[in-house]
Amino acid sequence: MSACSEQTSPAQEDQILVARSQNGDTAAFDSLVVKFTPKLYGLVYHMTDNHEDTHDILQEVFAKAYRSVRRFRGGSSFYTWIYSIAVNMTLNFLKKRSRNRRFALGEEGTGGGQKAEPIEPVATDDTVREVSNRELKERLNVALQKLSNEHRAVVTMFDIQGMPHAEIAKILSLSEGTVRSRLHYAHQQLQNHLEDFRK
Amino acid sequence: MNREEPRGPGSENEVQKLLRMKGLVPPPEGYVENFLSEFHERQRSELLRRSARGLFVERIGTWLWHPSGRGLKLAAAGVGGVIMMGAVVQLNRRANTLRESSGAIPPSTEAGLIESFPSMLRQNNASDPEKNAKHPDKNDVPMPK
Repeated sequence: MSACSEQTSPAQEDQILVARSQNGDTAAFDSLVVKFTPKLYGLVYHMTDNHEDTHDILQEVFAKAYRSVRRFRGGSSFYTWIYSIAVNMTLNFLKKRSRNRRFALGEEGTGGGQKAEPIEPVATDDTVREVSNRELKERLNVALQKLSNEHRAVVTMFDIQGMPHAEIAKILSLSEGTVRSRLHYAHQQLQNHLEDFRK
Repeated sequence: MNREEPRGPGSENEVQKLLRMKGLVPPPEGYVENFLSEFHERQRSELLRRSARGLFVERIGTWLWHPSGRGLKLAAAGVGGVIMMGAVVQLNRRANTLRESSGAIPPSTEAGLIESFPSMLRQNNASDPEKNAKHPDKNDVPMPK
């Protein structure tokens, strides 16, 4: 028995926790929250670019997951299921947010509203390069925010979170081809923004 | 297709590399613990806020969608039974309407008449004593001369 439990994969561990949660074990659900919060935090934060919004969305995501965990039949992994809840809720939130911004008083153009929070650059070796790198990253953040919500979601999952096309397709209920074409389009858009920086 | 791409920050590879460098944004330290306690608090307040009806509906939903599928099967059987009963009642009603329109006395009416007949007679006899004197027995019909 103990040898069996030692060999369980993360997916199997999730399955066990899900089964326990379905039987009303709240501690098991807490373990799922603790396990998936950091991963989902990165995903939602890259899409919203705001820590408070990320926090609120994540609370809603887990509340929804808790309410419907009994309906989860294991057709996909818990990871895919919780990711799709998070992505869909974030996309809905972003839609609402952009609608509110459009109707806000004293609105100025497309950019207005919340300011993108700078993301700390990952360690660099050269100090001269560091300045231009930081600038480039800032530019990249701005460019990312200019993408549509759907394109930003795909870029976040593929390029930043390193998820495979098939997984993204499952989460967004799209074909792999659509995911690839969205990625290609998004990369082109980002490239165009950064080209301006190069000139 | 094999177009040469510039190797600057504008090239697709570079864009992807930069995006990867952004990396996963970890939540601040201690965030998960606070998050969890806030989650518990929210759950508790949501439970208090929800009405008894909401809870009942949720219980029904949970029972229906239980992974064993037992609830769903029972519910489907129940719905099927109700539909069957409805169909039988509807068919009966339609048959009565047809009988009425064709002039025949529907069985329910017939039965009612037969049942009420003796009491009607009794009432009639009680209200007409002369008639009673002449015809003490209802079966005693005078012979025609």
